[in-house]
Amino acid sequence: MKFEEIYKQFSKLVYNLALQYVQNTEDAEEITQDVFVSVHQSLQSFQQNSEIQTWIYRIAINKSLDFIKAKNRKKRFAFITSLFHDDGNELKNLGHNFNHPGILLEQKEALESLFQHVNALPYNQKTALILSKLEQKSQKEVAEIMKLSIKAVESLLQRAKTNLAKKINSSEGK
Amino acid sequence: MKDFLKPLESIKQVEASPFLFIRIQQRIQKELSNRVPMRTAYSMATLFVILLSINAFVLMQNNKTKMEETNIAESFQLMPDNNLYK
Repeated sequence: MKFEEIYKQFSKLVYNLALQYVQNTEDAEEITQDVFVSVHQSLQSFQQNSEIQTWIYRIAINKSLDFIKAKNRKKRFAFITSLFHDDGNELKNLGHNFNHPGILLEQKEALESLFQHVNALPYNQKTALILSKLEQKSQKEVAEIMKLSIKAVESLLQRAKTNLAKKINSSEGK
Repeated sequence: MKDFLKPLESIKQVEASPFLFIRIQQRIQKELSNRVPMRTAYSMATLFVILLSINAFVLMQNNKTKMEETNIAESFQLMPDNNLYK
């Protein structure tokens, strides 16, 4: 399969998955670029053991998580430097800018608050939740993408839901 | 499914920017031009190993010669230096 064909077939999938992770168009585009550069580099070494879609999903998940980790590191560093230099601009620029084009305006507020809680989940719980609830993947598919057993995925989803419910209840002051 | 996850179902799939592919191609080209060819990398590594081995060999030879010199001086009961007031 040629690179251009792969891009045409999977760019929407990658971009939307990245959007679910970062909820920001600029960041999602950057992740999509990282994913396809990586796909281009390792296309020759790709073995047909797994489906190409599963392979691309794995790359997209890894790149999204790497991006989030790098951004968090930058935020921490900017926070520490802001303690010594009175320049809050860098810290402001690194703040989370919620800009998800797939969300309707009337839903924006509710979903922004929900995503705040989703973003606070551990990475594996967040991934399981995104794949299952946003990408509408079956537990078997999620298990294959995450290289886990179906039981492990089930447990991750259960824990994600419990954690989310706790976070939402505590933020609502129940 | 819990109710609080229901709003997630309303999220629509969107298209990426039409210029994204061009940007990706530019990045690939840039990375390709920056990349050192494997052949060059291997030859540099081999050269480095050869230089390291030559260095080690020379150092070992040097130590051996020094030891031989000390042994000769000891066997002829020669003074190892010119300090007469020791």
